[in-house]
Amino acid sequence: MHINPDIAGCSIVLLGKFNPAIFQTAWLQAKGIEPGVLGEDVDVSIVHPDIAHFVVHGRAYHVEQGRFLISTSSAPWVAISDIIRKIFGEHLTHTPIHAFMVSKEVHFRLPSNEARGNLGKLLAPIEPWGDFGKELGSDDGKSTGGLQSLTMRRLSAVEGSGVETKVTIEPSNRLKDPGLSAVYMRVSAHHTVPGLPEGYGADRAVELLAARFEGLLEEADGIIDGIMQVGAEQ
Amino acid sequence: MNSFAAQVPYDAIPDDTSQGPETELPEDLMDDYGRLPDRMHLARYATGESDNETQGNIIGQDTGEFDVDRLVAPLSARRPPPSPLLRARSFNPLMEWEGYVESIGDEDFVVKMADVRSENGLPSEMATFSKEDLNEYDKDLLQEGAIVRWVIGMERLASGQRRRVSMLHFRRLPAHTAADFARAKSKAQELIQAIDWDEST
Repeated sequence: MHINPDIAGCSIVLLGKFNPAIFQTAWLQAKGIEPGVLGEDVDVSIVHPDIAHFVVHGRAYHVEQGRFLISTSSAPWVAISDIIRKIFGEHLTHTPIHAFMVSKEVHFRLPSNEARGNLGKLLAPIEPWGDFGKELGSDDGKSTGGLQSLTMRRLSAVEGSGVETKVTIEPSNRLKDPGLSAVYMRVSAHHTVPGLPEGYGADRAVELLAARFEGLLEEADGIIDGIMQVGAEQ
Repeated sequence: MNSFAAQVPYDAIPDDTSQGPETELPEDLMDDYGRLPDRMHLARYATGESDNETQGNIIGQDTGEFDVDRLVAPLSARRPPPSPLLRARSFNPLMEWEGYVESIGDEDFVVKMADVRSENGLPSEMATFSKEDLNEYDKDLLQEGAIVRWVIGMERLASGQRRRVSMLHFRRLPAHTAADFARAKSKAQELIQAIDWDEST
């Protein structure tokens, strides 16, 4: 049985020094980054020297002085990577960026609540938890419980840059299914940009992001597909 | 206490799961990525929202639930409208190809493309698309050589309805800079120097 996620999303976070007031929908349109910005496609929450937050064409921008975040729930995911390349690789090239993170998230349904419970027990067995664990798995109606959140973490070095990959699995709180079978997963990869010279700009981070973005998503999809497959077999 | 085995409705219990960008970040970087500024937490408090409801679930797009009015709103402030992304669709790719526009006719155009997950990535498949299928703001990008991504995926509407959708996306890539040309020239030079010429012929 193959499972397709009900909801999927992708986001990129940049760490550095940003000027939130620059990020306005009119500026993005003028630079050809978000063309065709019409009233119904834009929702501006705030644009201020300290923070900017708005949504254009279903893409959410959130900018603070220390970070820039863009997220979307509509494929192709590469569109948000292209936007960052265009903003910081073509227009705001002197913006200092020292790290970035790519995240992929999904919400999916398993065949039943029992399958979800079994997946939870497979990932986090209740036996080592003694009497407490027995109560998590009891069916006497007096107590219940199980896996609430589990994060696996990998640290690695890729071509000189430190990469931290985290995979989190939880019950979904977005899919309101009466069968309580929905699961949430997030895979995020945080990259530090190596060997930054004094007075660095955005080019190294943008190059690294462009080179690794699709590979990171491919790995994330592989991890998620693997767990979905295991879940479907429960 | 929402758990994999819980038998109670989600809405009946407060949930402190971490389905948002703040808790996905490395702890030692938490301050850099930052929890949202205090005043935004205050704004949430003022409108009676919990952090969990609004802490930037990237998929749920809860990050859009504050605005400048609420930063100065009294405790009795009106509850803001739902974030537009809470109502937004999700479009998850099932298959994805990338290629370039090879030719343009009066009513349609031909794209030569490859599966983005293929081993060699060389465009080997051709597809014809109607110009009518393009977004208005993509029509200006239609020219020979333009990079195109074709996605077939499952769209989920806010109502929960699902349908299979095909979408064509013109990539907006940054213009090449002088540094790009310098890097390409340097790479070409490396390749030339790496050639081991056979002097005997």
